[in-house]
Formats: sequence, C-alpha cells, structure tokens
Amino acid sequence: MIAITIPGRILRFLEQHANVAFAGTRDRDLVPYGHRVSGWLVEPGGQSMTAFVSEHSTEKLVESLQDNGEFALTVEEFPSHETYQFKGRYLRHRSVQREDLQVVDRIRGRFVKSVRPIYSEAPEPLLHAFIQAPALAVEFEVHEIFVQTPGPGAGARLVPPAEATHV
Amino acid sequence: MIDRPDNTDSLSADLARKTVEFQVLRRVSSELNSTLELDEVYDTVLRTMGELFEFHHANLLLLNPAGDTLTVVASRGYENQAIGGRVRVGTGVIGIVAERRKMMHVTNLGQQRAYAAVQRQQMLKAGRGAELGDAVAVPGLQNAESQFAIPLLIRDQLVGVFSIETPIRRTFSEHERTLISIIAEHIASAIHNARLYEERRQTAEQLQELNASLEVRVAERTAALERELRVAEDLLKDARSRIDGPLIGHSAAVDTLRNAVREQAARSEPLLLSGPPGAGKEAIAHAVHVASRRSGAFIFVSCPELDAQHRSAGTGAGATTLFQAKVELATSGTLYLDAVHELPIELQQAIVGKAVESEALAASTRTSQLRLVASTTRDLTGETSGLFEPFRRMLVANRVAVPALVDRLEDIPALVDHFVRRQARQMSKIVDRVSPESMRRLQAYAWPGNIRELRTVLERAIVLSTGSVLEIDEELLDERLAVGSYRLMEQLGSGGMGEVWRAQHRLLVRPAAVKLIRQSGPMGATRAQLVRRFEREAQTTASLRSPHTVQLYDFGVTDTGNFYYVMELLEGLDLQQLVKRFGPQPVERVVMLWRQACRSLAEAHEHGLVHRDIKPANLFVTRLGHEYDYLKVLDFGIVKDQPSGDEPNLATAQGILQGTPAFIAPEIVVGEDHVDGRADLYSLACTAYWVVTGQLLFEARTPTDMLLHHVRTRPTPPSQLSELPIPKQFDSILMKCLEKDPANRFSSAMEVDASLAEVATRDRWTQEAARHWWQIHAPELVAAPKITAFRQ
Amino acid sequence: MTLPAEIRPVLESGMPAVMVTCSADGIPNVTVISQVYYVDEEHAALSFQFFSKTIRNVRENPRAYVCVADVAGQVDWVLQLVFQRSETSGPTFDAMDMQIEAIASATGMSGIFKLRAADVYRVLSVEKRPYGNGPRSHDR
Repeated sequence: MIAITIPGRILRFLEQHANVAFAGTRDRDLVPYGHRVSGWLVEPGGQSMTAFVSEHSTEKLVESLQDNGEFALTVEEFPSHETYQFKGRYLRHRSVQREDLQVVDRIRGRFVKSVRPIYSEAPEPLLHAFIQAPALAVEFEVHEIFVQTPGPGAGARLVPPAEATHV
Repeated sequence: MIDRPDNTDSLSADLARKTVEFQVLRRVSSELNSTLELDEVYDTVLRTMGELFEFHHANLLLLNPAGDTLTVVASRGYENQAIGGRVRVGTGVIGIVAERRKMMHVTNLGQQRAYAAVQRQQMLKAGRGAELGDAVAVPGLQNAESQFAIPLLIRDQLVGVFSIETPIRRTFSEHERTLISIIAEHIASAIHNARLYEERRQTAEQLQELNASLEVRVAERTAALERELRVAEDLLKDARSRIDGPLIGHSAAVDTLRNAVREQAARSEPLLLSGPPGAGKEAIAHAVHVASRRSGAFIFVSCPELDAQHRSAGTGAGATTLFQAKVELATSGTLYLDAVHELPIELQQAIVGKAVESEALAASTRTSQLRLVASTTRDLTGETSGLFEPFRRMLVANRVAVPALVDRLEDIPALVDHFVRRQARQMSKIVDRVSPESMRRLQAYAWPGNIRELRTVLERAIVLSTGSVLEIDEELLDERLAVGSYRLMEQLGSGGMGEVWRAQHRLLVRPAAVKLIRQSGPMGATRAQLVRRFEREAQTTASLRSPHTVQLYDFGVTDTGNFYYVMELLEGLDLQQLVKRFGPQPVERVVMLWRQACRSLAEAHEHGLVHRDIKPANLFVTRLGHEYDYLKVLDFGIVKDQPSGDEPNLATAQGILQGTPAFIAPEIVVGEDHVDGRADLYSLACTAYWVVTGQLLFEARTPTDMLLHHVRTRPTPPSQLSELPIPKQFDSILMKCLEKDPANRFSSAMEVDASLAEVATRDRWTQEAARHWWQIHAPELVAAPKITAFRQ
Repeated sequence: MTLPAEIRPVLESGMPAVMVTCSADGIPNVTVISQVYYVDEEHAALSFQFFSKTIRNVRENPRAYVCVADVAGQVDWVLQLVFQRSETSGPTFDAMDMQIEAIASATGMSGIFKLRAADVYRVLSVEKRPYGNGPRSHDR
C-alpha cells in the first residue's frame, strides 16, 4: 500500500467540522483494540495524520502498533454523522505538545456545541470531559480513506477510488 | 412513586419489593374496577400510572373496529390535545407494538431518528429517493427520546396500546417493566369491561328510543288503520247497499235473483243483465263478481262515454286505447259493460275476435281471462238491435232479467228500512222509522226509476226531516223535492256546510245547482240573526258580476226552514279533481287559470268581500259555450265583508277556523283583526302551487302542523319541485303572494294578474290546446251536456 | 464474564457505541454502531442491517471490541466480545427488529432500514473505565 494524499474537502472536514474520533488496532493474535481519540491533525503534505489518543485508551496501543503497524481512525461530525475512516500504517508516536492541546481544545469546543442540544440537561463539564485529555500522539501514513456516513454508500472506499462495488 | 427497597438485606428487600408490587397492583386494580364509565377508566389509567411511574407524557390508544388504526382516547401532558390522533398499525413505536403485540422500550429515539435521517439524506443524494416512503407524523412528543409502549390485550385480542414518552433519555428497569405489563392486563380488562358496559347501555338506550318510536308509530299507524278501517267499512257498507239493494227483500222475484246470482257465479261465459233503469243491474253484476271469487277486479265501463269519445275523436283510437286499458285492468276479474247497446261496433268486433284494426285489443280480450258482464235497458233478443250480430248472439246466449221495483213491491219495507238506516247514519240524523202513511205511499207508487229512485227519494226525505219519524210527502214522489221554484233532481255532493243538488226550474229548461245549508248555527245565535246574515251574504254574492264568479240565481229559505242558494250548474272539473286525475299542469295553463281567478277576486275585493276559502275544490274549470278552460270561483258562501259587530258568521257554525288548513293565510291563522283580500291572494297562490307541482305548499301530519307551517315556514319554490319547466318569473310571483306578511305581497288581485301577464312561458296555452286536452282526457264532460259532480 | 446490571441502561441509551473488528488479514476496522442490545448477562447483540466490513470481519475473525460511553457517569464501558451466531428469528431478533421497524416505518425507510439478522456475541470481558473527574449524574 502506498500513501495517498488526503483530498481537500476531507481536509476541511477534518479541520472544521469533525468533532469525535476513535482509533482501532489489533494485536498479534488479531484481537482488536479500540482507543478514544481526542484530536487529530493532518501533517504537511497531506499524506499522514497524527491522532491524539486519550489517556484512558492507550491499552495495547503501542504494543500492537509496534507489532504490526496497522492503524484505523474513524472521524465523525456529530450530530450530522458524516464519517470517514482512515486506514494506514503507523509511523511513529510521541508525547503530546502544547500546540496539540490547542487542537484538542478546538475539537472539544466543536463537540460540546454540537452535543449540547441532545444533552440539554447535562452540565457543561460533563460534556467537556467526554473529549478526554490526550496522552499520546500517533502519526500514521494514510493508505485508504473510506466513507462511513450511514447510508447506502457506507463502507465505500473514497481514496483511492474503489475499483469494484463495495461489499 | 414506587419506593425502591433497600438492598442491604436481600430477603427482606425482596419481600419489601414484592409488598410494594402487591400494593401497587391492588391500588391500580381497585381504582380501575371502581368505575365502568369509559372516560373515568381512561382518566384513572393515566393518573394512576403517572403517579406510580412518574412520567408526564402518556397516550392511551384504542384499536378501531377495522383493526387497522389506533386512536388516542386519552392523553396526559401534551400541550396540543392529542385526543383523536391516529396511528396506523405497523407505523412507529405504537404501531409496531400494536402489530407485534409485544411491549417495546426505546431509549435513544433521537439518535435513531437522526441515523435514519442521515441515511435518508444519503439515499436522496445517491438518487435513490424513489425507494423512500413518506415520513409519518404520529401523535406524541416530536422530540421524544425515550418511549415505552405496551399492548393492551384481552385473551390475545388487541384492545389498544398504552404509551409513555419522555423528552429525556429514561430507562424503565426490568422490575418496572414487569409491573407495567401486569398492570396493562388490568387496564385492558377495565377498558374491555367499560366498553361492553357502554355498548350495552347504548343498546339499551337505542332499544328504548326504538320502543318509544315504535309505540308512537304503532299508535299512529293504529289510528290511521282505524280511520282507514272506518272508511273502508263505510265504503263497504255503501257498496254493499248498492249490491244488497236489489237483493234485499223476501219476494219471489228477489229469491229468483239470488238463485241467479249463485248460478252465474259458477259460470264464466259472458252474461247479459237486462232490466229497466235503476233496477240494480250493476249491483247484480257486482254480486255475481263477488260470489264468483274471481281474483281480479270489477272494472266498470260506461259504453255511452266510450261511444261519445269514439265519435268526438273521429278515429276511435282513443276509445280503443281506453277500452284496452280497462280490459287489461279486468284481467282475471269482471269487465262490466254498462249500457252495452251503446258500445262502439269496433269494440264489439274486437271482443268477439273479429277485429280488423285492433288485433292487440282482440288478443288482450282473449288472454285476460276476464268475465264479461253486460247490462242493457233494451231488448237485444231481436236481430234489429243494431249490435254486431256475433256480439249480440254471444250476449243473449246467457242472460238474466232484473225485475223492476214495481214487480216486487212487497220488498219495499225491507228496502226502505235498509236505506233509511244507512243514509240517516251517513247524515248523522236520527230516524227511527217511516210513518205508516208514508210507507203506504211508497208502496203505492209506480217507481219508474226503480230502486235508484227509491234511494234518492229517501235521501231527500232524510235531508229535509226534522224528527225521528220520516215523512215522505207526495211531492217527493212526483218530481221530488221543490226548493223555491226548483225541483231537486239528484244529489251531487255533500260537505261540511250542507248538500248540493242538481235542480231544474219548474218552467225553465236551464239546469241549476241548489246548495242546501245545514240548519245549525253558532251558539247563541238567534234564528232572526241567522236569517239576516244569510240574506246579506247571498245578496253580496249575487252582486258579483265577474264572469269568473259562479252566478247566483236565487236564494231563500225552504218550508222546513233550510237556507238554500241556487247557482249556475257547471260542467267540468274543479282543480282538485283535475290534478288528482291528471296530475300537475303545465305552467302556461296554470297562469291562464290563475289570471281568471284573479279577475273574479279583484271584483269581490273591490266590493270589500274576502272569499276566505280559496282552494282547488272551489275553482271550477268548465266549458262555457265554445270557450274551454273557463274558470269559475265557487262557494262565496262564507264570504266575509267588513266586520259588522256582533253578528255571527254562518261559517263559524261549528266554531271552526274559516278556511281550509292547506290553503289558509297566516293572518287568518293568527286571528288578525283586519283580514283583507291579500289573504285570498295567499290562498290562491297555495292553489296555484298545488296545481303546478301536484304537492301541497307544506307537508304536515295534522291540521295544526299545517297552520303552524303557514305562519312559520318558508315554502320551497315550485321550480325546485316540479318536473315540468317553470320560469323564474312564475316562481317570483308565487313566492311574493306567499309572503307571511300581507304587506309584502301584491296589493291587489289585478296586480297579480298584470304580473302573470308578463310571464314568458315556453309554450302558450291556447283555446285549441284546451279543447284538445278536454277531448283527450275527459270528453264526456265536454261532448254533450251532462251533469257532473259539483264538489264543495 | 457477565454484563453487570448497571451497564444495561448505558447499552440502551448511551452515546453511539464504537466497534473495532479485524479482518483475517489483520486490518482493523472502526465503526460506529447505533446500539448494543443486551441479550442476557453473558451475551450482547448487534444489528446486522447492511452487509459491511464489520459483518465480514467478524465472520472471518470473531473477536470484537466495543466501547460504550456513559456520558453522565463519565465512564467508558469496554467490552471484548466473540461472535457466536447470527439469528434471523427468536426473541432477540424480534426485539431488535421491532425497534428498527418502528423507526423505519415512521421515517419512510421501511424495507431499507431493516434488520437482516441479529448477531449475537458472547461477552469475554467487561471493563468500566472512568475518564472524568466531574460529579456523576443520572439523567432520569
């Protein structure tokens, strides 16, 4: 698999609209693990992304990545449910920097604003807490982008374009 | 609020929980079973459940009889009242619960709706919108997050659904769900019982109403049947008297006649009855028909009338058609040919099957299985009778002679007794017997008119009688009763005021009609007052000169103290007879007749006279010289002029309202002091309405209802009822005459006449049209001078 | 491992859950699922509405990871599941089908938004992970 370049509209989605994300890995026994992601950014060049994994979601993360490097990141805009899944290969990981926290804050702000109508009675701190503090930044090379928005096209590969009908 | 038990001691906690459950169930059961009123059950359900499970929004829906829809019958917590809202079975949470008959608990409705919305949007973007159906609005919270719906079942039959909603996410514990399920059974049972109770109550109410209605209808029908029965009995008695007349008595002649009737009843070949006029030939024919028990009707045919029609029409086609109709009516019955010697020869030929031009009539005669009975006053045994020979031979082959009354004088006492009792009862007079001298006189008389003459004499004698012993003067037997210079020939009619007779002046040939007024007067009126009043009324009527007002020739008081008028005798039909026989009339004819009545009334009103009893029976259509459809207004006998103090009016002899309910003006109904000619215009318009539509202005079951309608009800314009075309102008004129307030009607009869003259009808009613009509429909009335029934 | 009673309301009304599966050739897949259905203490069910990567993955590799957030409780519930069977009838299928059909019929999506099968998973492990420091609350 080769790295792809993230299309402009997906970039805009990631930067301006998406407000919740979740990552997946698997260990050597093909046991899947999930990891809450508090924020993300697209690296210059648009061919890799960095996901900021929440502090309570790092179980088996590094171990799995170092074992097989497989990484999947699903990013959604709540409540429109526009969703894309990015699959690729782990490059590196690092600790979270101050500027990363700013990214997370922006995303948290978008999330709280969008979910407030549904959880109208919930206190603000509760909603803020959902976007958890990040603990680790994982960079991965993006090889495929899939549409995950609920609907007839859900699961179809967007980039590179699908060659056959999505199963 | 359900108190949640403490879990620290599991056994005691379990006991506490079950205790609470029991209390809950007992409370719910108790409340639900405390009422059988559906509305109260609904309220109880919502209130009790709301208190127990702390919700604020709930709907109770019941399944409709078709089983495809649920309707909200009770709701709680909704700003816009949800009652009446509908949910299709199979749609939404409630619809699916109803369809599957299982409870459903959903706690993230908003999220699921959002997912569905996104998918829907994606489908539309992908061009697959055609696969989508329409979103359905269901009763309830539009922003519900959680919903708990439970089916209400009675023996697996769905009664309805109970649904709870919350705008926030709320779950019901397993424990709560179980409790609600149990309670749902109680709810279903309570609703089921209440509905059964309601159905039974409605059925009982309907039965009660039905019973009450039936009682009323039965009572009305019973009263109507009793009236019909009385009328039928009277008619039967009347008919029997005509049948029995010739068969009453004990003479040898009557015995022979009775035997002949019995013998002829068993036969089916044609029968000829011969005898003098008035001997009772028709009655004998009827007696034979009754004794023969034939299934069909007894149909009378006047051969002289047929002959007149045959000759006046020229071709005879009308007579043949009429005769054929009578033949068909007589199927399996008896066809009686009166004065058969005057039957047109073509019809004689048809009867014996020798018809050249009327095969259809011949065929009808053959196939109708009727019994032919004919009568004649002539001797038909000779071949010079003038009849078609085969027809004559057929008739004379089986004949019975009906004796003259003079040949059975010993039967007169029996006949007199029979007729006197019947006629006295009809005239509401008490006559115990005939004086011996009168009886001797009767038995000595030659009776040229036979039984018919006897009956007529006795009728007149009873009319004139004042006591319980009937006296028959010589005068009655010789050219009958004399009233002034007039001899009464034949009674033409009888009504509330008295009788009307055909009469003949002693010297003049001109026939006349004599109206004898019943002697009774209003309470407290002296004889002198009555005489003065009668004279004044007669004089005012006689002063009227309009050719459209019946002419009054004379008036007076008989020797026995009865008042009488002598008027011109008219041939034709009054409007009541005309419409009854021939149906509603074309508007152009009605306009022509109405205008003539207006001219009569215009003169009367100028004299300050108000007729007060304008109605169809008092408007007579006659032939005057060569003029057809000449209308005359009759019966000014209750004409009232200006109020004249304390003199009673003859018309109030029985204390009744002046006028006839169906045609009476509202101001007369309410008893206005000043009633003028506009009341006659109203009544005349009611009459015109009837003539043009065939219907009375108002339908009413009682005279009182009719009077109230005149005062209160706006009539339907005739154009909306008539099958014949009616111009708008005619409608307008008529409706204006029917205004309740006389001030809103035309101010005079001449104004009505002038307006009617402007009515443009599609066709014109000319003299030719009138003549043609009479020749087709009633030739006997215009072909030769004949006396017709002169109704009141 | 059994599902504790306190997880049930979270499963039914929590935020959309996230599911991670892995294909036989080792590629993980992350998907959002609308609801996890509580079957019993040892089983949970997921709805099979569209034939997706997730459906294909668990049929190749039965292991599944599910994370459900209790926002009010500031707790993530993490489940490790193993795919057992796919049901097209029975009480679990009926209960899931009723809910899906209730939404579909009201939104004009009948026939499209449709439960094809109820995938039943056995619960291997359940972990409750508090993530916040704020007060717990129950949105009742």
